[in-house]
Amino acid sequence: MQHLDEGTIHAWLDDALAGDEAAAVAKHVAECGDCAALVAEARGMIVAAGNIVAALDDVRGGVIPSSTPARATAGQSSQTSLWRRLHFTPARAALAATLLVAVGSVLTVRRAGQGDDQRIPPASTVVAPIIAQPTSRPSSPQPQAQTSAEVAHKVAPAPSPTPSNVTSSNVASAPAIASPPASRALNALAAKPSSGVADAQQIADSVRSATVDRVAAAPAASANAPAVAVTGAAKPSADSIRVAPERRAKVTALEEVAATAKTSALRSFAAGPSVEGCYEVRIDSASSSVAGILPRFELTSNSGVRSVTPEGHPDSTAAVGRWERVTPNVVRVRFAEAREQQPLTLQFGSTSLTGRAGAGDRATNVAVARIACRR
Amino acid sequence: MNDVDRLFREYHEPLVRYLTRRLGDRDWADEVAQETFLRAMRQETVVSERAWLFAVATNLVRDEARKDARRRRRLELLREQARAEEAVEPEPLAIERAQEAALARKALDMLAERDREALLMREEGLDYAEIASALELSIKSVGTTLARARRRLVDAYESLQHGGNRVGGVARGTHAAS
Repeated sequence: MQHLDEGTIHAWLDDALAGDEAAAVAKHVAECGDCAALVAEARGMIVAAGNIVAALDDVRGGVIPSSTPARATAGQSSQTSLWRRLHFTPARAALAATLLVAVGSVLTVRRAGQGDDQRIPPASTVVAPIIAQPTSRPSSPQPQAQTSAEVAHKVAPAPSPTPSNVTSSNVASAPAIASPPASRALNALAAKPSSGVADAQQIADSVRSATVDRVAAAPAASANAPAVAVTGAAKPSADSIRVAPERRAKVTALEEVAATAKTSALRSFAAGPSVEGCYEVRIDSASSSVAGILPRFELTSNSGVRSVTPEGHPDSTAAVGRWERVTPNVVRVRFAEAREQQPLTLQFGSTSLTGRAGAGDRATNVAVARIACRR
Repeated sequence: MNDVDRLFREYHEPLVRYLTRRLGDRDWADEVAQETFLRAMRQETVVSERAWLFAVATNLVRDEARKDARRRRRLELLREQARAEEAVEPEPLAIERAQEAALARKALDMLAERDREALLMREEGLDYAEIASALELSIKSVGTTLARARRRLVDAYESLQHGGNRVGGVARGTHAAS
């Protein structure tokens, strides 16, 4: 069989070829590296063109008649979360967490000064030396939070509005894939220890790990964890337990912060990581500058999988799909569009998020980044 | 045709979206869609419904565009200006989205008419037979038409983007491959 022409490749990818012809094309693509590269390029071209067309809908929701039943999921509006209605943005999340820490610290320092020692951390808790830093944290994170929010706004528009998703470890990509700039920026954002948003959550996480006394399972992230690192794995010494009053005050304050987020965090820990949110997937391809861009998508418990725009807004013009949790840490995503039939498997690690597209021997590692959802 | 209610429920949304993307004007798209369904009512039988509707709508757009392109263009510009003045969304993202939309519109306008229509119909889910029927093409040539349309659209978008209007990256995002 001679090499495939572009029209045939697009027809094949659009599922427009008859069975025998499609089988012949598939066989040829499997054997011919040149044509496989063309297919990859065409696949990227199809998605890229679709994205451009979708960008025409400058007010995407407004393009669709409001009375249309197809996209307007009944009950969806009534299920809009409080967080969403409050327009819970990353900057606000960081600010709220910071204020909570600050207020808690001030109150507790006052109480500690009055000899209130009843809330010393458990004996199995070791307070890392870094916590002995001056009490600058309550006052300093605000500008950091703003910076982080700006970066998040530009790179990964905004985290999803639920507080459990406001975490730096959510933003990660497969290390084996050559990261495009956006992914690099996202990684940088994820690794940025001084990020206000990340700080707030990491502080809460750290205290939570002490509270539930679980073994810290995130070495990479913990290594970067700022200011406070509390772990139940280390053996405590008498000296380490005997912490200064201001340290105790801080830990107590942090426990208060953690208590507010503990319920949801523990729930998600028990049932595997929370996977709801928006994602960007990229297939590495050295053969083409456009190959392998998959639609950005959102996983929701109500509507399954739906496409989102580059900014994380639901894209009412694009197809939807479904997802299933294979194990607590593995989720399989299927897109409804014919050209995206191959399932995508997402694996959630303690510090990473990796993906594979396809099935069996034809699966490919893909770079997955959790992006922010916006409404 | 008796079945016009069902036809409307089933195809009004994609048709308006197709027309909006094609024309860049929702009101105009609504008008054309309305006229299309009126014609469907007068039609005794419609064999391939979706292809028929899209073909009629496409022909209406072509006819009207030929008739008073200049007047329409002026109205379009006035409407865009009014929209820009009314815009209350101060977020930079809103501006970026508007820029993306403008670039996408320019890129789409750079395509040949048939390529553009084929691409927009495909994006609405029409299969090759329906596109061929609506645009009076052979099925064999639909793949070639779409391949050309997609490539030219992406190339046009990128050349516009690199021409100083760099925005968030609709087509290829910030892809770093070779």
